[in-house]
Amino acid sequence: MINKPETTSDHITAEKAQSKIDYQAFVRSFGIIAITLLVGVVLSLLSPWFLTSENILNVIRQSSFLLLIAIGQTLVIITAGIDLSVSSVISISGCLTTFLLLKGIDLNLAFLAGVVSGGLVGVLNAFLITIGRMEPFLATLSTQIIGAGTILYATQGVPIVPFNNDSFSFLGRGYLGWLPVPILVVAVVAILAHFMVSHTVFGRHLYAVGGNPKAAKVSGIDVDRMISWAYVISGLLAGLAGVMLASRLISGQPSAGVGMELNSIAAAVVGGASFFGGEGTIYGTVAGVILIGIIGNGLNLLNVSSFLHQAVIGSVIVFAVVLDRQMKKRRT
Amino acid sequence: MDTALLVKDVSKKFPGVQALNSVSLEVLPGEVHALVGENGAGKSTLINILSGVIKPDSGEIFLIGNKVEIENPLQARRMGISTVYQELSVVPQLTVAENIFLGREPRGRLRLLDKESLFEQSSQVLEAIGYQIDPRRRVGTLSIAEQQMVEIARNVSADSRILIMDEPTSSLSRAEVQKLFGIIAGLKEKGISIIYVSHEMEEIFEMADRITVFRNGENVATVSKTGTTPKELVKMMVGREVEYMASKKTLKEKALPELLTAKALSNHRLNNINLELGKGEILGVVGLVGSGKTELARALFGLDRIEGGELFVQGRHVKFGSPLNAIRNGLGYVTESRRDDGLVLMLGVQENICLVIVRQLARWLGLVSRAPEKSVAQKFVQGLDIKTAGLSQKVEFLSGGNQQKVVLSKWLARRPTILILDEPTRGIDVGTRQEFYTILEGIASEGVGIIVLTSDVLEALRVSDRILAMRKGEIVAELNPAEISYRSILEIMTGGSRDDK
Repeated sequence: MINKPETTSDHITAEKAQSKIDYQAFVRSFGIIAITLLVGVVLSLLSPWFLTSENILNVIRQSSFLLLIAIGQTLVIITAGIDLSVSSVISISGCLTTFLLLKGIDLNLAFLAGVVSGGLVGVLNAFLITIGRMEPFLATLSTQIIGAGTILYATQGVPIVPFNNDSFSFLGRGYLGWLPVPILVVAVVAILAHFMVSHTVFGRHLYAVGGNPKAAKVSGIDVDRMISWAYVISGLLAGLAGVMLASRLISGQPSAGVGMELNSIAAAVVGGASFFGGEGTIYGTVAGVILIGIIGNGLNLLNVSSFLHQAVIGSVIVFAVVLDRQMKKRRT
Repeated sequence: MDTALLVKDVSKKFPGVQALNSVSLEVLPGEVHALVGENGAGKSTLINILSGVIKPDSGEIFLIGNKVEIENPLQARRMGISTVYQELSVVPQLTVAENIFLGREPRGRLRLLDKESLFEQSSQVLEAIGYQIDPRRRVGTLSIAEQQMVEIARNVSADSRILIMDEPTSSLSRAEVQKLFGIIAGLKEKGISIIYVSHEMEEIFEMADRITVFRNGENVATVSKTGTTPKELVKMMVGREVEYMASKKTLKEKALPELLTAKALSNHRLNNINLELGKGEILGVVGLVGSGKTELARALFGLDRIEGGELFVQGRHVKFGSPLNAIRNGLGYVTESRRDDGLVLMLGVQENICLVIVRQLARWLGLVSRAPEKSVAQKFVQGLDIKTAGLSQKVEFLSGGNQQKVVLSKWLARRPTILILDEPTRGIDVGTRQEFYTILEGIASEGVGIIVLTSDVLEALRVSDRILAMRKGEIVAELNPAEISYRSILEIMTGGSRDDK
């Protein structure tokens, strides 16, 4: 009975901490969604075209390629890593698929080959990082440069245009009813990925490895294996994005992915992922991608020079990251 | 002869504890003066005052007869008081010379770095302390001992009078210790006084001229090396014989079925370790920092390589190679530092408690089953009385004792047969500590074999059925807690059991 008051005071401080976290967790996870909605409202007031179902579907379809990559990127960032190679993977997989089609290979096989090529780049990244002990930044920068050079050499910088083939363009341009196929694909991937990080042992281990690799190791988690899987999945998703983009463009473009690695990182970080690892959600990343997408779309509708788009998007990233750091500071 | 340093009636009080109580100390020029005492005896507080890290509440300090006020570390250095801490602060990417002159680099024309003179002056400094090394080498390529020499070179300048060394040998090999002593002897000849904090009796008796014993914030005695023995020193450190109540249950029968047996285990930090752990037994392993306790735990748990010897679990010969294998063989390991490698701070209480068993709880396709997970976490939060606002509370926000209970729960949830705990109550308040010991006894009574590695002798005496003492990577004694005194254990840990010199 003597220590009763102590116990209650303990509980009170703990409760205070809890309410503090709730607020922060809310801001971290839902703040980005709130900002996205707010930007949407502002844009719909500024432009009558913005809030039409046609425009919204268009924005989401345009964003779907980036979203596929950003999902993989999020997994990698949760492990405290980074994947810069995804831009080259997009070019490689798109060109490989169109090349195989041109050679008369079966459509499904050609798709599969494109996706798998991305997975192989992921395997290479994983190898360099876990066995080669390279910094993720350097390892994936290297594979990005190697990949970009190889694909430019192989194609001589010329796009590969397969015979016009409706079933090929279906993946990137087709509709199921009113729903664009890329949106359907990315929605399925996003739901699976969300489920994986939040409801499976794999996901739990992923956060543990990113949050504290030493503690994860002591707890019997194979840290290198988890990190490897993150890069392989990121590669596979980038491969899928490349195939889908080639289908959309009905051609394999040797520079199709340039710049997308940075946009995917930006989207993940804006969505709450932290470079220190152990933090990040799929829904946050979805909101991050859509935010970047609607800002670009809104600026287009408002006839703002496309040269200015990047500056605006860059500012959004600064805002999100500064917010993130301030949160961290307040917590400690 | 003038005194180099005179400390007069210095007191310092921290909230709830009188760290120094009117302490006086006299250090002669060119003297190696050892400070000994148990943890919390006041050595560190005095060092921190002398090096300007903290200020005393009262008392005076004289440097060669002049009264001084030491306001901050920089000023302490300017006065000629240098301190080499246990934790090295060299920059591994820079060269030896760059480290020595870090922050006071010689400048040439246009205020540019004068490399020529940097290397030249460094050579002079190194020569002055009698240490031969190429000043152009990168510090990162040096051994810990060599880095320590660089740290000394950096701290000793022409006007150094007092060099304070805080447990400088705790991470050095025997040969390296000899090298360090060579340097110290050289400094001594130059008239520099050395204040040397250590637990190692052997080294103290080799190197020190005089020894001051601290106990409970007071200077108990300053004695000349020739006038005392290691045994006497330990006796002074402990004071009146600590009456240890053998409140322990009567010792268990020896015929316990064996859970864990190590035969002649060796690796780069361990030498010929033999141990046996019985069912329901609590085995205490005591040793100072650097004695190899943590290395032993890591080797047993498959985190560090075992280069020689064999390990048996319940009679089966095992080779773990990874923690997962150790876990599958029924081991659990509560690490020394919960923040470092025990917890994932940004995850919740439930996620941390279930980190190891999440695999076992998972269903088809590795889906996490929240309900059983929650009930496991709930059980431990209630059972071990973990004070938390909820199961989703991030463990970062829990107190040290509650964090430690979360780490313990993580392993208990896996129902281990062998549980290794490294410094289980470090940084935990006294009340929670007792609670912890009761929990451990409860677990042991269910048949789990427990190894408690600790530098706290009282803790070992309190929980252990049997105690092994470690020194320098070896087990040096097996002790019966009901028969051995606190002092004898301390003697064994510090190598101070000899009556001679």
